[in-house]
Amino acid sequence: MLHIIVRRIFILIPMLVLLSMISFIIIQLPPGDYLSSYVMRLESQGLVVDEAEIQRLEQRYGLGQPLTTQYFRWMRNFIVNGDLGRSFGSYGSSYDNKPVSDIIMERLPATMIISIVSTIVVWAIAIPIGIYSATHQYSLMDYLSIFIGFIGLAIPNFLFAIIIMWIVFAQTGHAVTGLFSLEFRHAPWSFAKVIDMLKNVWVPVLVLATAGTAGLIRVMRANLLDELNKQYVVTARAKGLSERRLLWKYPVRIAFNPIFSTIGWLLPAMVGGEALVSIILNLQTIGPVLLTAVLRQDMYLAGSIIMILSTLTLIGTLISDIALVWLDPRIRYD
Amino acid sequence: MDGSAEARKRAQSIIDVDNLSVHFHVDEGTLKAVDRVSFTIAERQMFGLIGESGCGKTVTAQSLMRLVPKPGQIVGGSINFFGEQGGKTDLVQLDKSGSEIRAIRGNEIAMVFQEPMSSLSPIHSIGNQLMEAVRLHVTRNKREAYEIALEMLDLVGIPNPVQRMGEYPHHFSGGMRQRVMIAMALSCRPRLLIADEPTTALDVTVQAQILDLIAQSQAQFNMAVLYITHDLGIIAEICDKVAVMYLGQIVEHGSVRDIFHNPLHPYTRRLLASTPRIGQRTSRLQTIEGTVPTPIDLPIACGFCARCPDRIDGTCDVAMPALVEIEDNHFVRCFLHDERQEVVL
Repeated sequence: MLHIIVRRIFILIPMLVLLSMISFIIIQLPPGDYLSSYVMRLESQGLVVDEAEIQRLEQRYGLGQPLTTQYFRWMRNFIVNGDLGRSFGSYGSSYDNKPVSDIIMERLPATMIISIVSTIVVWAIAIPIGIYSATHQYSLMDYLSIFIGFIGLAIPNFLFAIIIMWIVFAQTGHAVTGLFSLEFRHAPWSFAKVIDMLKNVWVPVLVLATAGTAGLIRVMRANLLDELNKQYVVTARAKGLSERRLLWKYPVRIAFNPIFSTIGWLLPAMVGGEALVSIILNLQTIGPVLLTAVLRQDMYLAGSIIMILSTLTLIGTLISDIALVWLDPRIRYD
Repeated sequence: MDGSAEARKRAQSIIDVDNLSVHFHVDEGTLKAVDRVSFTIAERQMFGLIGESGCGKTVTAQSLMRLVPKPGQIVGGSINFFGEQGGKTDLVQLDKSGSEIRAIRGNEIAMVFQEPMSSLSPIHSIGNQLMEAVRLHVTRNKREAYEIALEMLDLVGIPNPVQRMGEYPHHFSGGMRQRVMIAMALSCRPRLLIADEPTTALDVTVQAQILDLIAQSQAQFNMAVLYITHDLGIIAEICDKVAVMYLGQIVEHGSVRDIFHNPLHPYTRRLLASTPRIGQRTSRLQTIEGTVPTPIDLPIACGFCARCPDRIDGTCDVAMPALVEIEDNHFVRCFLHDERQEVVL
């Protein structure tokens, strides 16, 4: 077990290097570079560009030097200083030329709060319903859960978000814009701020959870239906085990495995967030930043986010694999 | 023990199935998987149930444990199970997932299935699965349960039981898995073991070993065995009594000697004739013409009459023969031997 984990981590290292290279190539793909567009933008605003500043930045990022040198500088700055470069753009007014790492760190907490809460909600709702649906196949509740599930799956998230915002506003007069109300947006953390967050967080959670819940109900139901008809379930029943005990010990436990194998995908999803819903609900998450960065060719920012998400995908996959080895004795990676 | 006491003891029945009917309500109609089946198994008896695929053998066995899968339903009859202290319980009347039947399942009646490859959970260790029934019925003590499981693995001839306890089903061959299943079934010392074609999925050499193991355990544990098979050779080798099933009904029923030496029902005769024998050179293997019909909405007639070479037209195809005792303890359901009809409601 330990042997497998250590070996997999060693395999991860060259993969991560490759990932950083691909991310760097993406950064370099658009014509021009960070500095020339920075200078151009300042000049277009009628500002005089300080030669020394240009020299300093050129030195720092190794611009003008071969791509390989630039890559190594980018990586060295990242590994040594956690510096991923600077953003060109201005996001609102606050992100003007901010370091990429600052932008990401600023938005990470909100992104993770929403993702983790909605994941927990999805699992907490979908798995019991999926189990119920499978054990009561073709019952009224089964059909009802399928019906509601498909509606949840069919309504586009952004549309659902707009509808909920409208309903909340029409009914209570409370405008759900972002994770916090205006007066708390820049306030330090306090009990009142947490309460305020709870007032708002349920909207994105509800929107994100409906789609995820529907999908997971279907997966859980289908997996469990497959397992319920297996001979080992009859064996367990023939031992005299009660229905509830045998259900949880055997078919449910085995039906979980394919779901656990996708647990790794949650990691990048947690950090990436849902761009469209975040834009509509004005959530300060990473999703919309990536979208805007790509649109504006803000390549250090976009490339860095891509690198982080890819890294998390790799780590997530590793976690899934380790979880599966632990859960399913049939699986061995040696 | 003198002869009469021995006879009385042998005659003491462990389970008495009377007029059992199991129907499956499917889209095409009502499938009569088991149709008014009656038989009695005595203590320490090896009872064989033989028939083609789909004749209702397995559903009959499942009924005894109340494990008939959906949409099957026991629609009539009784299954009286006699307890050690002499009391009897009609299993049909019990809630099929209630505590009373669960106290019997795996404890007094245990079952070995046809498919050793899928009968065990792939992700739980052999020890875990073996100890489960023991901890449910025999002892709550984990240590004791472990010792019993170990002893059982050793008993069924699995080498290195201590190591094997921690292994998983995929480490075992088909024959070894069937041994594990037998160990599991025997672990609570049942009084009736149901073996549902336990050797069908195995290699011939392994088949013989498993068969020996079942016969040995039967003697060692003093239990009755309901052995289900389509293999006449097995019946001849190990059984005392045999019931021949066709289309959900018992068509002939008697001692192994009677059935093999004096088969009365045309189906039994064909079945015996279609078994190849060593030493007899025949150019063609005898077969039974036609196939088993699906028992959905069948006309009132002998189920075998369409395939029967000896059928009496105007009799066999318009009425259902009754199961009649032609000789002492030899029952047959055929108009060739008795003209009594069965009243079909």
